[in-house]
Amino acid sequence: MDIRPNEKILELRAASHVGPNQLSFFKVSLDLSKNTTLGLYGDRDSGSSEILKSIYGLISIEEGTLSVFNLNPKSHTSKIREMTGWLSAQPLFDDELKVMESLQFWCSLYGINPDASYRKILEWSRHLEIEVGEGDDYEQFDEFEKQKISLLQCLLTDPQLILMDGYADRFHGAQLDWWLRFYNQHISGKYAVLVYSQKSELLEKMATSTAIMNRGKLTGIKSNEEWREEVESKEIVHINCTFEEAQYLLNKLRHFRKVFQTDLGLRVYLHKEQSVHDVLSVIERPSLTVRRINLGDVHLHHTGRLIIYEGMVA
Amino acid sequence: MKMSQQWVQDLTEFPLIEKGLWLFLKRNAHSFFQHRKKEWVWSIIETLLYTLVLGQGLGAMIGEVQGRSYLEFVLPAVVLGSVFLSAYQESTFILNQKIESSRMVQKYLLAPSSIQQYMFAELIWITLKCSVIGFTGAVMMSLIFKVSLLVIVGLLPNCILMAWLASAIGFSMTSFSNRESNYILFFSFAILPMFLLSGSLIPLSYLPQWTQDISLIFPFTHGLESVRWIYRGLLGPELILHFGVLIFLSLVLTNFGISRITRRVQLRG
Repeated sequence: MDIRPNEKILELRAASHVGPNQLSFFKVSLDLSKNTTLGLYGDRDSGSSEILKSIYGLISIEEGTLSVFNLNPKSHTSKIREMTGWLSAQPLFDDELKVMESLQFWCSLYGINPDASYRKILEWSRHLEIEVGEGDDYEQFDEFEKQKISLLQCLLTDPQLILMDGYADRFHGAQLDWWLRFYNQHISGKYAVLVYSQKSELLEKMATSTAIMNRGKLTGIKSNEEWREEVESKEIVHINCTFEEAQYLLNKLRHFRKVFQTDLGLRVYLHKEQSVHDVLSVIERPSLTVRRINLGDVHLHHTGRLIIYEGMVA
Repeated sequence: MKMSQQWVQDLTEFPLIEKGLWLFLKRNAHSFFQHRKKEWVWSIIETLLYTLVLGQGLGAMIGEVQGRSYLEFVLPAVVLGSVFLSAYQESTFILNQKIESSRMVQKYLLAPSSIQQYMFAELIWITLKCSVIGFTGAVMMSLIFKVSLLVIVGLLPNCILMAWLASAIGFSMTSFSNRESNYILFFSFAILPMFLLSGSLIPLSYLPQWTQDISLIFPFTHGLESVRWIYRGLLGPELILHFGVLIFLSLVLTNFGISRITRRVQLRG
């Protein structure tokens, strides 16, 4: 299927999914156009893997709409998979076959004949700086090389959309440098990429826009600049209020670092010396629910989790 | 969907046959012939040992059974037992291990072909592999111990049917449980009694009437009886009935096992 420039590859609208034990994600909306990268940032159980799985047709959303290449993943699973690559945190491999055999077999599942797949393997191996011999077993390769083989397998099938579920999160130092170099040279701007990571600095370097996953809820899609501002802010206060109340309060809260209106009310970014009590004293309305969203107490680069402290009401 | 509706659907819906099925079958054959063909050796040695001890050793003490040597009487049970057991092991212990600990199943869960095609190919492959190895063993035993060709002729369709049935039972078991102890329990409480009470080692007529009646519900009885009917040159409606029972059970359990195992793999994701 040919995708025209700027054509939407992915459209998720108010989608929710309930897993076996808990809500995976709730009312999530996101778009992805050709040749752009959208990052999902959050902790392990933030629901991002489930979003990727629903796009790939591994699970179905209970609510909302999802269209990938203008197709419904539930009814056109194999068509979508033929155009989509998946990269997971753990390399997935077929240890009953030699690496070359396994790669060629994978290509055959996509209708690529053995000669063409062999040529592609050699070509991508060069770019990936890895040598795959005819008789090589998976166990001969180290973890980083196995990740490269996963990437090779993904790129062999010429996907138009790549879903990365924690791929590269375990890369450090020289491996990370290699990955970013490869990503910029061969992936960025050439494929539509939806990447989930627990590493904020990785997403900053890869994604053109980022959505913050928050205990199963997507808080919004932002440019990296906006997102950095949110992450760097020590304290954020959320005020639950109506549209009219928000309009009235916007003016009163102007001396705080940043204030903006959301669907549910107002979000106020505080300066270092300000506290939630300053907000409460300004709004003078005890009936409003005020939540303190504290990012400062958590080392984001280590856990990736955004903690919301509920019920911090005066 | 209600649980009862789900069960009816699982029992009656035959897995789809798509291009992915042939590709996975080709992969399995390639993997076996290139890297794991040694596996058949032990199975043949096992058959040889049982035939030697039970057929020739015990046979020398017993003499003739139903007008034929005991070796010719017991060989079908030895071969079909070996086929059944190896197919059951492959479709329970080994399949479960693949699902739980290998990354291979997870990898093929991501393929454009549905995981059902992969699972169906596994079932067909186990059936083919175990029946061919079992039948090869039977041919070798017939040459070593000079067994009547009619026993071997009767064993050919039954090796396939027994391997198919055992695989389907194994897939159904694996779809219910990921605990190996349950596969052992099922073996002890269902498969072993079935083997012993199906007229495998002694003719059914030597057993009490109630045992003979019970034995009719065991698929193994129908497998052995059909071999012995062919062996006696009796190709009547009873033979069709024996085959019919085996085909029906295999078909229903294939539907059931494949549907459920596919769901298990998808849920594990």
